Amino acid sequence: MSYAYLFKYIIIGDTGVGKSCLLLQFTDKRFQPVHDLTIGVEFGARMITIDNKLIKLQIWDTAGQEAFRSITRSYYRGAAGALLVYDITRRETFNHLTTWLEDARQHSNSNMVIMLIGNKSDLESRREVKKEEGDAFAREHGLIFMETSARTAANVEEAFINTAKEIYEKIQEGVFDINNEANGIKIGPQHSPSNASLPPGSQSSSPSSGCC
Amino acid sequence: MATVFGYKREAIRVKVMKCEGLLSPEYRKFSVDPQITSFEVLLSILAKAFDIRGDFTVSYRVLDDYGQETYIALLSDWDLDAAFLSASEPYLCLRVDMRPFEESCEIEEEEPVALVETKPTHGLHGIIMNHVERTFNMVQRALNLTEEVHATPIGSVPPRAPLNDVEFRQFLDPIGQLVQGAQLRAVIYYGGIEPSLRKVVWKHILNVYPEGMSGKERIDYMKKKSEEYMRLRDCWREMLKNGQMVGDLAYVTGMVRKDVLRTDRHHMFYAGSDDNKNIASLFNILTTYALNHPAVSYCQGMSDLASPLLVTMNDEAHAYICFCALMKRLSPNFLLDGIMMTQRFQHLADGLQHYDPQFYSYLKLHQADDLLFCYRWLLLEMKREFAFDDALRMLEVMWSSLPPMPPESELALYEQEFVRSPPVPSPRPKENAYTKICALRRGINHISLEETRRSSLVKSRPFTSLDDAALRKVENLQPTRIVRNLNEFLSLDKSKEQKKDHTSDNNSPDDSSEFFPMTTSMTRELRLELESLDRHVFGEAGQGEEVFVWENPLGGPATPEDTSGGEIFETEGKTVKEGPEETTKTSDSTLLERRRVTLEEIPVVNGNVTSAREVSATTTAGGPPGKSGGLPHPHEFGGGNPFLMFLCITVLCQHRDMIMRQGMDYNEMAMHFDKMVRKHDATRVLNQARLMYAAYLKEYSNTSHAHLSV
Ligand SMILES: Nc1nc2c(ncn2[C@@H]2O[C@H](COP(=O)(O)OP(=O)(O)OP(=O)(O)O)[C@@H](O)[C@H]2O)c(=O)[nH]1
Ligand SMILES: [Mg+2]
Repeated sequence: MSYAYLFKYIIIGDTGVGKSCLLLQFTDKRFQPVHDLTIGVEFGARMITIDNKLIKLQIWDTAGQEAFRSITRSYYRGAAGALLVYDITRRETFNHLTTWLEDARQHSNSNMVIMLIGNKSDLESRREVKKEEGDAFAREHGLIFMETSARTAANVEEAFINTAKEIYEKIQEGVFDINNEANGIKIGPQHSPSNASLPPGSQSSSPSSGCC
Repeated sequence: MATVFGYKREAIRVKVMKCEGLLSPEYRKFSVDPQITSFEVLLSILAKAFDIRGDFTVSYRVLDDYGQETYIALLSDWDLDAAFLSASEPYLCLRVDMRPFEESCEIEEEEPVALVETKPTHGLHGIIMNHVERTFNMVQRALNLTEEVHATPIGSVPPRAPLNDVEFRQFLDPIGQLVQGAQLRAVIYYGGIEPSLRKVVWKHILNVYPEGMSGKERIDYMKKKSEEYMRLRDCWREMLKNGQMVGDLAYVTGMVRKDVLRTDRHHMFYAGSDDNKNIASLFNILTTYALNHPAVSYCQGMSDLASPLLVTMNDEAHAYICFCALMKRLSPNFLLDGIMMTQRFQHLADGLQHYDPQFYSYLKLHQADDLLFCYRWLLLEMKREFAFDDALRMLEVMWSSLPPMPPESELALYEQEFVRSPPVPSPRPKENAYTKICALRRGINHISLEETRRSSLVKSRPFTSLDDAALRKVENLQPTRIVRNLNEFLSLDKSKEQKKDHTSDNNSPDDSSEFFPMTTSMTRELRLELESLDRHVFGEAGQGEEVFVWENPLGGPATPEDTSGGEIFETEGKTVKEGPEETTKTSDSTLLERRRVTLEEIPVVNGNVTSAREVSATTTAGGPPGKSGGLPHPHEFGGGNPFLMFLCITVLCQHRDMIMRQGMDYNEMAMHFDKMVRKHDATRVLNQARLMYAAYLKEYSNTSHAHLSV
């Protein structure tokens, strides 16, 4: 149950690029064509394992519209990873990446890992941004890059998990100060035998009960 | 013994024990009609009865062969039938077992997913939550039914039944004039409106009609206004058909199209394919509004506000008219200057500090006293926090808490009429080295929006899935390169104006008349400038206490659009004095007092509002509300919507215990409330908010008469 680390992510990018769909695909493994546009911020969470360690991802999905920028900006604080998303079928969303990147760099900690994502790769026929362009942009700005489809789930797992791996490596290398929560990383709570909030069932089924 | 086959009793009495970890069990009693109570419905009833937000399991009690009590899991309709059949007299005993909230929040907690594996997860949780959502209506019905059958209602009930047709007629005189409008509002404030009556009554409480209209006059008025709407709408639709996708038209249609496809689609009204004609209606309403209100234009969130109006009116023109009426009050929320929203945040913080200082200090300790996680609540006035039908109830209650503000002579459907420009001229490249430099220069500050606009010119289509084929054809013929140049020119012209840069030779008179959207684009540019102010107002991230620099909402420089409470009330005061009824009452009192009187003098049908004990608890926890350092006047509080503040404070207070018990940090709190979207219990929240609001009004009239002069 308890995790070794908690990483906080933020998803940013223009409105309509599919940020909420990516999050839902990652947390719930489904593509929901019927959902709300995001006002302010929404969130999701999921556990993953890296290097046999449980890692909890706490993901903030922000609204893309310009008008919400002043609100969403405040959520950059304390994010260890950012997914910067554009829509491969709408060039303008790619053109705005620089602005987003500047914004992110300005308001986040300098070690934040940024993953560039070209979403809607299932819509090949309507593609307006070549994969190479995404690649080049990422290389130029030192980002990781992937094309994904929230609809088909292609590369969605990988996008979130590779970001986590990168953060994890940075921790191993001692780049991140994990004791400073402003870095978006938290060490998991220690096992404690007197955890009253656990339901009786899960306590007895836990193989590691009673030790830490 | 068990009743065999067919349920003899119309209602089965149910006794439920809820167990959660080490907490002592909670009990509820109610009755259900076995004919209409499915497993889904039962789950929803239980969720409501105990105010459960997370996952839970249900089992029912039977006596085994040895006469021992055991609980059998209840997992399906089939199980439920068995449970009904075997219900031991006099009760069907159920047991609800909770999983701790934390877990249900974070669905995957127990199922870590390895790097490679992609197994499908957690069907059940999703299903249950979906069901809860889907059956909210049914639950309401089921609850009403059980309340009739059984003496002790589940949880709290509204203080009054919804306004019905017979009652409403009593507010109309023989020629259909509304008399006693304030009383009408008071009735609605306590009980809401019967759904079938909303179409009629909402127009009254939304201030669509000028005062004193007869029934016949109202019909004529709506007809005239509908025609006016059609004219406004056809203007831009005509342009779309001609392929004139330029400027604001391109920007607005592009934005709105994306958003109407993502607004309340789970509601039957908007469900199904993207061709649903109701989605097209919503698109038309928002586009017409944006184009004819250039200072506000379109902002995300508006679709959420317009949607319930369209569902209720089921008529595009009427919904547009209601939307204009609503936006008269709410448009300041959408201005990029952020003044209104900042004020609302500040007042909410003040209110919370006033009523629950302990929780407020907790928030402060966790640097959450900026209350940013309430953003959606404030922007959409809680609309998304309740299931759709509950939101309708909440909205009408909230609207009727506000003083009436009928339009002087008639409601304006536009702020600045959108005028059709002449057709796009033949290709005429305007791009040159100079325009490029200008674009670049602009780009430094305004990349984002410029790009949005430019590219939306190229890319934005009319609402293809909704419009006819002919329209689509035109759109395909549209020469994108030219449009881009037009826009370049527009931007150039605009920057010239702004930067007083006169080196260009591009200012021939025909140009300026040709590119009509310039004025509106300029507004947008100005709004962008204002956004940097907004940034300033909100402070940069992480500044903790310095987030709000808003000091005095009335003393500060107000934008022309800023409908400050004072202004509203001034007009109001006049209206009140002119009003045919209640002249005596208002002679020496302010509107506040009038409102207080009307709200309090209405008989509360059901005396048990006080069952909302949390409120009294939190109110007293904060001590008697202080006289000094008190809250803003009712006409200022919450930017003129004090009841909204109490809705928000109520919701915060209803969760404060859990938040503090679990020691939630900033993120966890925000997540917690985010998860509650559409899940708050409207009846409970409204009841508590009413209590708090009444106490607040009372306090005001008792202690600070001196401050009340408007
Ligand atoms: N074909 C396809 N459509 C997608 C994909 N991802 C998202 N969409 C669609 O794109 C639209 C926008 O998706 P959202 O997830 O709401 O976009 P967003 O980035 O969260 O937008 P905001 O909340 O406004 O900032 C929706 O109608 C989705 O159905 C994808 O991978 N493929
Ligand atoms: Mg979103």
